[in-house]
Amino acid sequence: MIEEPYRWVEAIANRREYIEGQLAPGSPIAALGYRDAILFLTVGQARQKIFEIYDRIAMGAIGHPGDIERLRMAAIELASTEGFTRSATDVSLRRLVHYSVFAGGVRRRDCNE
Amino acid sequence: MERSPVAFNQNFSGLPDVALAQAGAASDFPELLRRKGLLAPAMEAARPTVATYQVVPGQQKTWQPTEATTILAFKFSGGVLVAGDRRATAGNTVVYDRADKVLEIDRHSIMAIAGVPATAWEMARVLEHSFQFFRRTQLQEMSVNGKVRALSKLLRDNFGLVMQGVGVVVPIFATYDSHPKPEARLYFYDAMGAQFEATDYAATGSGSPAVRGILYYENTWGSKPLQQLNEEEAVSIALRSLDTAAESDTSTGGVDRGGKIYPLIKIVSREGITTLPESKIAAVFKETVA
Repeated sequence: MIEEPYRWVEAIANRREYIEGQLAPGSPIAALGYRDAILFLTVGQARQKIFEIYDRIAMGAIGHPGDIERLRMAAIELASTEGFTRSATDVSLRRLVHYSVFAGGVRRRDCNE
Repeated sequence: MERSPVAFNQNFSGLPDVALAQAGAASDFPELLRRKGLLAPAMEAARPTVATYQVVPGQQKTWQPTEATTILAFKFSGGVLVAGDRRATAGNTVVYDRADKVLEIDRHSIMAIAGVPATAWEMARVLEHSFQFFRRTQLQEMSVNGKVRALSKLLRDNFGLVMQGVGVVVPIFATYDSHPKPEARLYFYDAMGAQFEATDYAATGSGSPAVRGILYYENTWGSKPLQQLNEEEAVSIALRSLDTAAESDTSTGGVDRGGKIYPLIKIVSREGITTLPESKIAAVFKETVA
């Protein structure tokens, strides 16, 4: 059976709706940048949601624990090896977020499905 | 076959099996570095080939480790004092007179090094990142036993190179253990990675025999045991020991009176690590040593 384009868009919308439904009851994480630092805050105590990634980098996430764990490990490995080979100041959040972890993570995920 | 709309239940964790298998290995930072080609392979891979050992007729191949320096550490009333001279040598040449051989690994741990600086500093760097990597990935601080073992493993992995005549490192590791009983802990190692916990003091490097003699004497017949000394008394004994070592050992810098170069002294206590300012060391030196 050949799926038509509109069916595909609909399927994506369904997934999106399902995921949003799944995430909705999760307690939120808030991040607030102020003059001296960034405040990371969450109210839920049941499961850790805010993680240390590197010297000045933290990550907060809600979602499936396995997905969070994979993202977290990828980020820590990247930041740590970069910081080890060069220096802690060469670990950049911008590169980590835009090009390394999240981009790489999503691509890997597509391959595995 | 119809695929489920979300990947939540692919397997228990949502991780692909390969990633799961790697997750365990990844908790070891040196292993991660080796996988990425950023660290020399461990001993097994670096084992010298037969050719390296072939003895040329008439030429006796003897392996002689050199740790040209003096490092000492002892427990006193305020924690552990770790001191090292500042001289770096290559054979008979003094290369550097302001070398740091007492290195902070984390907020409560010091690694003091005797041996080849390139390997030693690399080891300290790996160790520092390993502890942080463990804390970040495993979401808890590495135990003191784990830290002591981590250094032991680095030494063991390096032994292939040591046997080839390069890269011998004989460190001292001092840390403060807050669990289960808050106390200062002091360890010394051999080049192969055996770890020994010291009850009172430890010394390594070419000048260490003299230092060990002094510390034994002070601890046994001195005005009071090392563990009861106050900070000033402890600094005084550290400076006297290094000065004595420098008296006969050319590889130990001791105190450079002319250049005003003093040994590096750090103290590990419950509060963390304190680096003694040069002015304070100079004052104690002037009063009790010079």
